Amino acid sequence: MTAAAARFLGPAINTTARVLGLSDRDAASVTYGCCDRNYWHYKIIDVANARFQEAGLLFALAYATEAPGNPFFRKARILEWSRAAWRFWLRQRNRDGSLAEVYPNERSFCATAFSAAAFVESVALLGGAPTWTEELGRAQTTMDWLARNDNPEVGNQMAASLLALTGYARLTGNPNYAAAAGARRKDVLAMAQGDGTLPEYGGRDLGYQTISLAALARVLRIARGDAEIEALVRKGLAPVEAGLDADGRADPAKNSRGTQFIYPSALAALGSPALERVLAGLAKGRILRPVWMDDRYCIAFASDYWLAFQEGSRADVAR
Amino acid sequence: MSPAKLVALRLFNMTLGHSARFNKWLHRALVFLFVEKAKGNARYMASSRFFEPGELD
Repeated sequence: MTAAAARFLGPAINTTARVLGLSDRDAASVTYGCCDRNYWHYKIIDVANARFQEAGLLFALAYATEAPGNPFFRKARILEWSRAAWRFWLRQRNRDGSLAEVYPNERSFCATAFSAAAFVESVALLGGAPTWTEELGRAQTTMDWLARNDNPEVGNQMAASLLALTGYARLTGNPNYAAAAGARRKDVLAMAQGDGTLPEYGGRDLGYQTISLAALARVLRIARGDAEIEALVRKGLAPVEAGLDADGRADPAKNSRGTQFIYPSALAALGSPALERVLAGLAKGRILRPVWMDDRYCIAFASDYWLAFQEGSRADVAR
Repeated sequence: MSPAKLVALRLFNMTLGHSARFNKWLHRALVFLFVEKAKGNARYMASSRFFEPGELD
């Protein structure tokens, strides 16, 4: 399905260019690498939102993805900007390794889990431990914080923290983090409901379910052969497949968080038949695409589009 | 901005900040101090620069 997977590419490329515009790319600037334009440029907020630093993964994916018409493929500058984003992320953390989104000394489990997961994914994409030794060493406190804290009300955040800990354990080979990832894996498996959904503030939300499944599909790429996680992802896809209409939309009124978007990468990774409906909705302009989202949400969503393109292309090669 | 500075700013907003005349005077004073007097030094300049593909080369 190369032609079909390529439909994810245009929105991913366009949003990457937009997010580069949000980022401080001046190496001489004291906020070099900060991707929250409201903080470094407009100066209208006092704390840079850590979730914007997930742009480091967006840039890494754009750098590493060989695709027709990808202007970022193997361009040295975007590689520099990805590393700059992660260096700013390391600097902006609280002393205990946690991160803030809104106010000073906030310890946001959401921001810490998702940005840490994006960090380890970037490192794995861009050469791994040999070229990121210093950054991986400094990130240790963040992984320790994630291992000590959780948010059992919100499945997607727990899945992201599992991805962060699993990726960090693999990159560093440190058995302490393998143990922490093992404990978090048990937490995530225990959270799953009978139909495979991970709860979102006490209810089911198909949009956030696809975020959880996207993170778990990445965990599967790292820990191949994890039958329980694979079974959870397959089971968790069933309610998504049943809930999407012909244009790949889920009724927001039936989602616990009123979510309108669908992350496609897990559907592509597991060969879900619902992916065709998402692609049809994308072609008709009937589903939300990354560039339509606000500055904060478009970053992670666009990264998922890059991943969906990669997974779709892999499926082609396998076929 | 630290919490103490934020509280001070809000107190100002609710007291002297109500006066349009005082606000105008303060604005002029701050522009003089941080823009005009700072000429020649590195100074903040509002700009609208985003990303252009040429930056990749």
